[in-house]
Amino acid sequence: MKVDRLKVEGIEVTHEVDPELVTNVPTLESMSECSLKHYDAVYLGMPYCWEYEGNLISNHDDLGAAVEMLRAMKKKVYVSTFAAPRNKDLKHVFSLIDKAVELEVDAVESTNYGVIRHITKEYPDVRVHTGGLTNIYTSATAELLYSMGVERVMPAYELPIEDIRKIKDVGLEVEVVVHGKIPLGISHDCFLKSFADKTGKDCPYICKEEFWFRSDDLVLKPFGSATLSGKDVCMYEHIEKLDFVDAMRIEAISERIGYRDVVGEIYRRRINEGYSTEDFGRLKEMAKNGICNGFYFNKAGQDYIGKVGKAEETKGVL
Amino acid sequence: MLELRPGDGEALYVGLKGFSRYSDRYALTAEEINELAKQKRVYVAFNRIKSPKEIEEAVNKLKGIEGLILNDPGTIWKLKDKHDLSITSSVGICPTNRLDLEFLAEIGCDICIIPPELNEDFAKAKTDKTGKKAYKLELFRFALMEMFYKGRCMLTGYFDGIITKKDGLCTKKCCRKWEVFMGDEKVFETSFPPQKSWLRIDGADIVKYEGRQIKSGGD
Repeated sequence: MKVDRLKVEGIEVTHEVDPELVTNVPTLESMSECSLKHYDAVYLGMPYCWEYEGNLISNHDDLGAAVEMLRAMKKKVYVSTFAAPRNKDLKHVFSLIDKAVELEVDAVESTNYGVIRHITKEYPDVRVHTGGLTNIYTSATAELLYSMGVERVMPAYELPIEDIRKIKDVGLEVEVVVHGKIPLGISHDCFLKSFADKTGKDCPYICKEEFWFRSDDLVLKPFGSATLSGKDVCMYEHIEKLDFVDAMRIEAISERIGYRDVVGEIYRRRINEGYSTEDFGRLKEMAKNGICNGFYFNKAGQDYIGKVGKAEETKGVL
Repeated sequence: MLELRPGDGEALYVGLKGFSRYSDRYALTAEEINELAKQKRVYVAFNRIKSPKEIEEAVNKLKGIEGLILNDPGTIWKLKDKHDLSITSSVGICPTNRLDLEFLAEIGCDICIIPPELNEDFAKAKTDKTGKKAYKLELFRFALMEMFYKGRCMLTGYFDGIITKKDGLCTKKCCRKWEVFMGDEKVFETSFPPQKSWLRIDGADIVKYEGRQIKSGGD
């Protein structure tokens, strides 16, 4: 629970504010009222491939329908943009931003400095969020973005909690991933596309399959031009340590139907009612390759430190 | 055209111990850099991410150098007006389009390095709307093409707890043999070792030859 300080008639008062619980959905097909009911806000679109079948950042009619659906559910609507746009992608990015502005969404998210600057200059009334691949490693960069008009940042995934707190001190809103697979790299080409001759599946259908890179006990998940962590980042046990953030994201862009619903319900209960051993067990069961803490505790991102401070074995289904 | 080669070019990129990527084994002390700067045009790489204050204190110990290579937009923005030095944005910032370059020029970059994968994209993209150069473009003539864009890989931190951007080290997990599974079925094995590549440099103001990783064996 975050404590906000407000001045009312010159007197400082405090009140508790729950963090916004947010998730992301790639396509209209993957949206359902049931799976989104636990969230306050939703990022629309898959930022790692324009060609992903049904991608909301490429299908503007679907995007309009998705926005309408979320509005009816009284959710905040954010639109993601392509993660690493090249020059040839910019016309598509501009078209998407125009559509997002026309739809009056609540924010546009980008991880690209050039695009972020373009939005803050050309659309000063549009609220801008920056995603985790923006590479915000220092308070100085957060200050720079704040000075440009950015309202919310997701610090670099590799930052520990103490560094995230310093970024929060800059004065803008901070969002972090509390659960799900985080991107660990972004490439020039899509690995999956290059597998077509070996798998008998071609783009865009190959993305409907779940791929893994495994090397002994190391696991990665290729997904479009991004490669995600094989394990699910899980901060369920430690959520109080992130009580200063403004938004908590359930990263579900690559997940099958059902994951977003169950994980959202568990984290909503965690925020409202507190810890449940049963819920934590369910999260571990759902993580095919185990859970980890990401980079929050200055450890290897794939490690998991339990509530009692001991490393836990979490590989495989528990 | 200015050439930046590892070892013997017109100008040199050197690392300052404690501040440069790829370990300190081949990085120089401030005294060594100051001596070198008497003979060559020296650009000093500060491409490990640290606070602007730490970098400024280190820069203040250098004399006669030509410029700085920085890896964090906020640090570029903060340091630009504090020194009369050329500022180069490290490839680790990973600009992927012309808007990125305009942004980097706006915050104070004089020279922008782009990922080697994108050389051809940038051949005609270096002028602003008035036709005036807003920045110099630095392209790799020779580079190691890696699994991910340079500056966009977190595998070392994820698997080994070493944050490459802060600690400067890479454990090259990309070079391992990886089994590719579709669902639960193993379909083949692959690996993603860096590929030595010679690249087109049309439109470059400055040409760069990647050297440190090769010399140091990638540590």
